[in-house]
Amino acid sequence: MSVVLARVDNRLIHGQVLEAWIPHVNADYIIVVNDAIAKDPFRKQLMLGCVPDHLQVKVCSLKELSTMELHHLKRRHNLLLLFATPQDALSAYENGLRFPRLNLGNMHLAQGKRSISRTLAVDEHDIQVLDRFSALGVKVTAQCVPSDRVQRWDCTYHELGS
Amino acid sequence: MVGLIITAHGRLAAEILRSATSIMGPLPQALALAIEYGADMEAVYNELRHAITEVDRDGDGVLIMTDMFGGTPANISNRFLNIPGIEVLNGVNLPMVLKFCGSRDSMTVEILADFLQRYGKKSIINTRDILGRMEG
Repeated sequence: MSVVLARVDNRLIHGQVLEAWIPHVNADYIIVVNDAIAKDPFRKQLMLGCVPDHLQVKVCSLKELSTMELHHLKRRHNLLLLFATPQDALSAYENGLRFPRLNLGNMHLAQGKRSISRTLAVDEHDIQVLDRFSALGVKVTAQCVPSDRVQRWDCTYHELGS
Repeated sequence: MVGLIITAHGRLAAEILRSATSIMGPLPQALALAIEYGADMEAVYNELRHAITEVDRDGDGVLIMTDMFGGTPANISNRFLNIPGIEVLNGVNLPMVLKFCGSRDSMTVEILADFLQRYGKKSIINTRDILGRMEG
């Protein structure tokens, strides 16, 4: 029982997570850390509604995270953590939600960002956060779905490598 | 006339709409929206919002069909459910779209959604069940 997957995915709960990752890592509890959805009852309800009944799910803000019994949850469950951005993942990590590895799934392309893979794009701020994770000893890897090759975040070249 | 939007992963939506058109003829007030990998979710949300306005010319409502409940096309579509006159059906199939063409003028969008949900489920058939029926 532990954190079986900590993932950055701007789509949060969607097909790749429900159909591919959850069976692959055998997760039974999803924690979505997202301020915008946590404070919007309608979007929160929609998100909770698309999770099958046999899984537990919690949608919380970064602030609410600090009031949760994380150690207890880690002991009891195989946790799958979802963050929309690396920044959210780092804030959660610094608030005590620790994980040994960070999986990069989907980070959409936007103005000022450059693509580093088919599904990932980064700007300077993202790069700083990913380097920070590496410095903290968190292994940062890119893998959109379990059948994809795993690539490691390279702090020297700021690219993905093998 | 109830408007139609089909939204799905990759090119699926456009191809279902194209197949429906090739069988039923031109489909007015109907659009396909592809959700590609790496797309910005808020940009897609805005695209869908514009598409809804475009197919709802008569104000009779819009039925959004998505490829899979829980997938991104569905998740984005569901955010429009707080607007009256929008219904979302997940798990689109071709028979459902064909039946839509013949029913969109005679039903409200809510009744149409119920009807097509049942019709779409009924149209999933294991052929051996039919063979069994013919034999027995």
